[in-house]
Amino acid sequence: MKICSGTVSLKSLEMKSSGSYYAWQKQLFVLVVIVVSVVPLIIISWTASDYYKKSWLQKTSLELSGLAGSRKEIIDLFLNNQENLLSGFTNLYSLEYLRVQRNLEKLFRAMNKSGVIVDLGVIDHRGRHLAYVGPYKSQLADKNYAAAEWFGEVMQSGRYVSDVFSGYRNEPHFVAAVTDPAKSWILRATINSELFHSLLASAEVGPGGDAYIINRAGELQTPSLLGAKALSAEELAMLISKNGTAVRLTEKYIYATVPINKGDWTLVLKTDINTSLAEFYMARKRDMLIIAAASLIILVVAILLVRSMVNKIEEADKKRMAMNNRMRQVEKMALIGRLAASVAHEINNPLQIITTQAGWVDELLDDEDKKQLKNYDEYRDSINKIRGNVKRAGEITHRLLGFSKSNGYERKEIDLNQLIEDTAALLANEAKAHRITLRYFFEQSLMRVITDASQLQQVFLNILNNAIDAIGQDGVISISTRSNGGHIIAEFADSGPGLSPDSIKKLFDPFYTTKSPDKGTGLGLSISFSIMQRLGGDIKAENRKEGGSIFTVMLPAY
Amino acid sequence: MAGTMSAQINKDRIDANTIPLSSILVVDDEKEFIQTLLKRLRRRGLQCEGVFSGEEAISKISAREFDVVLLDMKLPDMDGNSTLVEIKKIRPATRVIILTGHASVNEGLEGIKNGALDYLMKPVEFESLFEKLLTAAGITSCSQSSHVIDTRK
Repeated sequence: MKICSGTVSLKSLEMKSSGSYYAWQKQLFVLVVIVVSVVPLIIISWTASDYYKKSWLQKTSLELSGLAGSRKEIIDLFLNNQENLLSGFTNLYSLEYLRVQRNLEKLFRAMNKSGVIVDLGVIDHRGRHLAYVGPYKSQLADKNYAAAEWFGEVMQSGRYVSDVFSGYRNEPHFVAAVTDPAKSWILRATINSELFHSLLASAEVGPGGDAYIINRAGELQTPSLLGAKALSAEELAMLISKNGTAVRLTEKYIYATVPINKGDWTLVLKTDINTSLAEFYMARKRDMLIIAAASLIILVVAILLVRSMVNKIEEADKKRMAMNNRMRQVEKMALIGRLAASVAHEINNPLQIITTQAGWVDELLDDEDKKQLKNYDEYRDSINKIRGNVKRAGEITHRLLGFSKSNGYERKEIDLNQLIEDTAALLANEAKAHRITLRYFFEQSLMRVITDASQLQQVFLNILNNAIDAIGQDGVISISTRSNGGHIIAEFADSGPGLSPDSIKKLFDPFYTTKSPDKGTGLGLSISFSIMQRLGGDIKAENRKEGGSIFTVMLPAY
Repeated sequence: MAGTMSAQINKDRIDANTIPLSSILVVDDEKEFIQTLLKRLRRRGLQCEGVFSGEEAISKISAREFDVVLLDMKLPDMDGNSTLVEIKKIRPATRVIILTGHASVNEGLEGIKNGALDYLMKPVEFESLFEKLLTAAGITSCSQSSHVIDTRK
C-alpha cells in the first residue's frame, strides 16, 4: 500500500520536474515582485507628481493674483493722484485764470515735473477748447469736444479717466478730466502712456507671461508685453465674462484679473504654465529617472533572487524526487525480496526432490547390465543434464534468496583497497582475454571500513562483471577510492558504451538485463543494491561525460 | 579434484566394512524426498530412519539415540529451530545438520546458535549431503573416505 501512495506523490513531482514548470514559476514570481513593488512605486510617483503639479499651479496662481493686487494698488494710486491733482487745480484756480496760456503753462510745468502728463487743456461746458499746453497744439486748438465720449462722462460725474482712444490727434492716448465744483468747465490732462505702461512692464510675469489692461469691451488699454494687438476670441470671451478679481486656468496659461479704475478697466496678468512649471518639470524628470533606475534595480534583483530561489527549489525537488525514487527502490526491493524468498523456497523443495530422484536413478543404473540396456548412455546423459539444470535452477533461487538475507552479516574491519584488488584479481584472466586494462587510483590513507567483506566483494564482482560485458573487447576499467566526509567511496568507471536512459532507470530492478538470457539473470545489480542498503551504504550508476558509465559505491566510515 | 572424487564415491558402493554402521534420522515433510534419500543412504551402508514432522522426530529421539539428525527447517507442525531446541534438550550430544529451502544465512546462524553442527541449502547434491553426514557422524571426511576407496581398489 505504501508503494501506491508513493507513486501518487511521485507522479505529481514528475510533473513538476519539467523545466517549463520552474521557468513559469520564475516568471510568475518576477511578475508578482513587479506588481507589488514597481507598480506602487509608479502609482505613488504619478499621484505625487500630480499633487505637486496642482500645488505648484496653486502657488503660481496665488503669486500671480498677489502680483495683480499690488499692481492694481499702484495703478489706482497713480490714476487717483492725477485726478486729485486736476481736481485740486480746479478748486484752486478760476476759469479766467487758467484760460490765460501763461498760467496754464505754469500749472502744466508744476504738474509735469515727473513727466506724468503729456498735455493739459481747459474746456468750457460747451466743449470748446479754451486753452491748451502740449505738443498737439496745432491739431487740437479750437476743437470742440462736445461730442466726445469722455466729455459726456466727465460732465456727468465730475471726474473721469477715459479709455484709450485716438481722438483728434490720431494717436492712442487716454485722458483724465475733472470739472470745477460747479461743473461749468473742465481741466483735462493726457496721461503719459509710456510712464503708465512702465507700471505694468515691471510686473514679474516670467518669460512667456503678459500684463495688460483691458476696458469693459475687452479692448487693450495698454500694449501687450508680448506685442499682441488684440485679445484672441477665446481670451476675450473668458476675460469679459467675468471681470473682477479672479484667477483662471487654461491649458497653457494662468490668468489673474483684478478690476482697476473704479471697475472700468481690468488688469490682466497672464503667465505661461509651462514656463512657470519648468522647474517642476525638471524635478519630475529627475524623479522619473530615479524611479526608472529603482525599478530597474528592483527588476534585476527580483530576477536574480527569484532565479536563485527557484533554482534552489528545483534542486531540492530533484533531491527529494531522487530520494523518493530511492525509497521506492528500497521498498520495491524489500517486497521483491519477500516474494522471491517465498517463491525460491517453494521451488527449492521440488528441486531437491528432482535432484535426489535423478541421482537415485543414476545410482540404480550402476546395477544394470550396460549391454542389456540399449540406451544406457542416453540415460546417463539425460540424468546428468537433469542434475546440471537443477543445479542451475538452484543457483538462481539462491541468488533470489540473496534479497532476503536481512540482518545476518559479518562485521569486520577491512582494507577496501585490498578487497577491491583481490576481487579484481578474480576477474584478471577474463579481463585479459578481452584485452581490458584495469587501472587503480587508490587513496592510500583510506579510512578503514567495518563491513561484510564477502557481501561487498559480491557487489564489486557484479559491477566488474558488468563492466567487462559492457566493454566487450579492448577497453579500460578505472577503479578509484577516496574518503569523502564520513563516507568511503569506490568508483568503477568503464570505457564501454554507457547506459541508456532506460537502463539507468531500471538498472537495479530485479530481472532487468541487457544481456542474453544465458549470460545474465538480471539479479546481480539488484542484489548489489540490496546488499549496499543492508550495509548502510549506497550504490549508483551514471554516465560519464567522457563516455562509458561509472558505478559509485558508498560506505559509511567508522 | 573434490568433484571427481565424489563422483567416484557415487560409482562405488561403500559397504559396512569401510563405513561403520551409523544411525541417521531424516526429518522432512517431503515424503518423496525422504523415501528416496533413505534408500540411497541405506544403499551406502548407513542406518537411517525418516519422519515427517517435528513431533515424530522428538518422540523418535526420546525413544533412542541417533548419531546425526538431518533437520528440515520447514515442518508442518512446528518450525525447525524449536524442534532443534527440543532435540538438544533431550539429547545434547546429538549432532544436527540443518537443511533449509530458505537460503537465509540468518536462519542458518540461528540454527548454529541453537547447537546445530552445520546447515545445507536446498537443492543440495546428494554427494555433498552424504559427505556432511559422514563428517557429522565422525566416520570420515570426504577426502579421507575417497582415499580409503582408492587404496581399496
